[in-house]
Order: sequence, then C-alpha cells, then structure tokens
Amino acid sequence: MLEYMEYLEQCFAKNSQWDYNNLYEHVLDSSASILQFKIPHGFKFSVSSSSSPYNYNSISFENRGKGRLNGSLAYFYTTQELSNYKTSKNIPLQDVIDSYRLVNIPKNDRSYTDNEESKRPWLLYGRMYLPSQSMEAMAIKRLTANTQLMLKGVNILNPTPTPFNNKLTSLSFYLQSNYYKWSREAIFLSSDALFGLRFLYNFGNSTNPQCTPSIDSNNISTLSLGTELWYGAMNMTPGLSTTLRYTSFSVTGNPLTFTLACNPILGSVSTTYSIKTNVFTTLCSKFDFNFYSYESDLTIGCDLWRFGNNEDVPDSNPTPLPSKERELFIPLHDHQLVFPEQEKAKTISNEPKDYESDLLLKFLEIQGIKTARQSVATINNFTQKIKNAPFTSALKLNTSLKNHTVNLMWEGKYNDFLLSTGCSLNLDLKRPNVDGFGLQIQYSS
Amino acid sequence: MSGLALSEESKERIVKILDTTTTVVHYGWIPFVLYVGWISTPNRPSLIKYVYFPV
Repeated sequence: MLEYMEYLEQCFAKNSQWDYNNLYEHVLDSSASILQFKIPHGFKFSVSSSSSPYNYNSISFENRGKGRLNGSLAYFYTTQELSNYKTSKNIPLQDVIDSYRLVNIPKNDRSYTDNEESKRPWLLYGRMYLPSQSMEAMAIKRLTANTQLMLKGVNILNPTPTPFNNKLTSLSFYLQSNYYKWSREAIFLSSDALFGLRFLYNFGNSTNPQCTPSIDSNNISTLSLGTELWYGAMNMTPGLSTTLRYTSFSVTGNPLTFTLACNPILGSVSTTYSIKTNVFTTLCSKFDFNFYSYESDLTIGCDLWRFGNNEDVPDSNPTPLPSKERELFIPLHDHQLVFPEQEKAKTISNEPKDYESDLLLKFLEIQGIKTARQSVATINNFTQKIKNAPFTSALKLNTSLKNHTVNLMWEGKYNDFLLSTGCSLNLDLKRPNVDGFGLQIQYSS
Repeated sequence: MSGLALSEESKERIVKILDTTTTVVHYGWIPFVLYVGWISTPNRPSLIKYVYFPV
C-alpha cells in the first residue's frame, strides 16, 4: 500500500498531468506490484492530515521489535491545489494499492494555457526520522508542461558508525522530459558519482488533434522500447539494461502487458506476462534466466479484489463480443485496427468489378467499423468498471520455484482506517517457518 | 599533467564548509518547507492546525 506521502506525490502527478507510466523506471510496474510487493515488518501506525489544499503533514510510529519505538514527522507543500486528494474514509482502494497499471499514453503532448504557464507547479517534501534524526527531502519543479526537475536527498546520521565516516549523505538529481512519443531522464547520484540516462520510445503513437482521455481505437495497443545507461565515475563501472513493453487488450477487453527485459552486463533476461482476467483478478508470471550462470527462476503471482456490498458489485467480466463479430476484429500492435474484409478488399479490387461483390464489401466494411466501435466501447466499459469499483480489500500472493517461499499480503479498509498486513512463509521441507510478519495502519483526514 | 593542487589547510576548510552546509540543510529543510508553505498559502489555516496533527 502506498504511504501517505507517496499518495500525495501521485495526486500531484495526476493533477499536473504527469504520466509516470511513460517513464522507463516504471515500465515493469504492473508485474512488480504483484511479484515484488513489500510486506510490512513490525507494527506501523501513521496519522496524516491536510491543513489546507496545499499543505499536508504526517506523523508515524513504528515498532520493529526489540522494544524500540521509531517515528517520523513529515511535511508536504505544493503550489498546486490537490483537488483529487481524498481522506482515508473516502479514498478508493485502487488509488492507494499498487496493482496492474492501465497504460494509456495520450497521443498529444501536454501544453499549458497562458494562465497555467505562469504557475508551473512545484512540490516540497521533508521527513525527519526520530530518534535517529535522519532526514529525507524532495523537491519537484515543473519547468515546462513536459519537463520536470526532481531533487532527492537523504542524510542518515550514524548508520553504522566507523572511525572514518559516521554519516551517509546522498543527493540525486533527475531531469525528466515526458512526451507522448518518448521520454528521457538524465540522472546524477552523488553517492557514487553515478551518471545515468534513461530513454523510452513509444512505437506507432500517432498525433490526434481530438485527443480524449478515454481509450480509442488508436491506442488500444502500445509498444514501448526503453533503455538505461549508467556510468559510475568513482569506480568506473558501466551499467546497461533494455526493456520492451507491449500493452494491449484482448478481444474481450481484458488489459494485458508483456515485457522483455535484458541486462547484457549481468547476463540476465526476464520476461513477464500480466493479465487482468476480470475486474477482481490479475494474474502475473515472470521467468528469469541468466546466460552466464544458466540459473533460471519462475515466479507466479496474483491479486484478488473484494467488494463489501453485493449490490454495488459490477459484472466481473467484460461484455464479450458476439462470436461472429469477434472473428472480424483483429487488433494490431501498431495502433491500427485492420479488418479481414479490408485485406479482402485489397485483393478483390484487382479483379473485374462485380456488383454483388461490391455490395458484399460495403456490408463487410460497415460491419467492421461497427465491430471496432463495439470493441472500443467494451474496453472503455471494462476500464471504467475497474476505476469506479467500490473495492474493500485486496489479497496479493506470489511464489517462486527457486526460493520456496510464499508471500501473502492483505490490504483493505476497516472503518476509516487503511490496513495492510502480510507475511512471508518459508516452505523449506526441513524447517518451514514464517520469515516476516507485519501490520500497517494509516489514517488521514 | 598534475591536477589542481590544494593545500591541506584548503582541503580542511572545504570539508568544514561542506559539513556545515549539510548540517544547516539537515535541520533547516523542514522549517523551510513549513515557512514557504505558510507564506504562500492563500487561505492560511490556524498555526496550531498547520504545524500539529488534528485527529
């Protein structure tokens, strides 16, 4: 579950129309949300509030065993009113629980109106951990409608005191450009003098002047290719990875994502496949292979969502298309809808014209357009169902062949509180045990 | 080609300046966020509500 300050950062991004799904860093988020979720350790309680639509604060207490109580104090300020902010009582769970990401990259670059241009938003955030007095800071400044500068800093006092160094300071700078066709990030991390570049390119996105936030036939599928390059100036180590992501919808309107990631320096290749089989369920699998050590691993996971009130439960499955129309509809990855009739039309048009075949072609053409519209309507309908569903809890589960562990996490709402609990079960035949267990409670007003 | 030669005294001074800057930012960042938030907010809430946590 997202922490309060992470939720605010997302509100800020949504409010200022910044799409994180179009950045290389988030290209594997759909599978990571199910296969690499973070189980809370110990007990954590946080109370947060909004003193104005621009100012937010949070206090949290944490007990990780050993009888020690840790806490933190955080403040958040933004120049932009967060109109989409919701308290823990009213917040839809799909806004705070990390799950399958519906990638819908707009086909137009964002642009500010004259009024917005003068108020390019920025964000300030600071958190102090107690009693260690370590500090975490972040500042984000939107330079233009499609570019932002992000500065993050961490100063940890006495992490493991040594005669040479008793504190750890790290600063990171991110210059991000995010356009509908591509995105780019230039990064500098002070800790190892690490320089990084990240790119992501979306194939086939065409500019459409009448861009609408809903899904239309031009962005049913998105094929993205990204890469990142790193260079550590202090230890002269390079780094490189590249990822391909394909997101689409099945003929029944189910969103699916396929990714192929490769790191030639470490020799790792991993593929993931995630599909939202219905409004309640997401299934995900990941296969890792290392071509230097020949090690491999298969990880599978799922998340199951639950509704509290049966009256509000939407249909779990998207409305399927009639079988005849399904045959006519073939979505292609290059953002175009091609119908078999159109292909037929190309071949038939070379033959001598026949009145009957002309009529048949016209009929098929009309039928094709109708089918495409129905498919887009089915997808939009399914997407809206996911966005508006009144979920009350979610259960996440994953396991891998190599580690013999099962990770379980339950996240939900009880009265006005957001709860998150989970454990990691080690299924070792000799010594099965529970590796980690935790409970996190959040309240915000 | 030799790099920029700095005396021991200059090195110590630079380290001291960096340490002081880090300490100032470390303890001054949250008061800075609060101050900027306070002066820039159009409808200012009460100071108690602004700094503390109403439950």
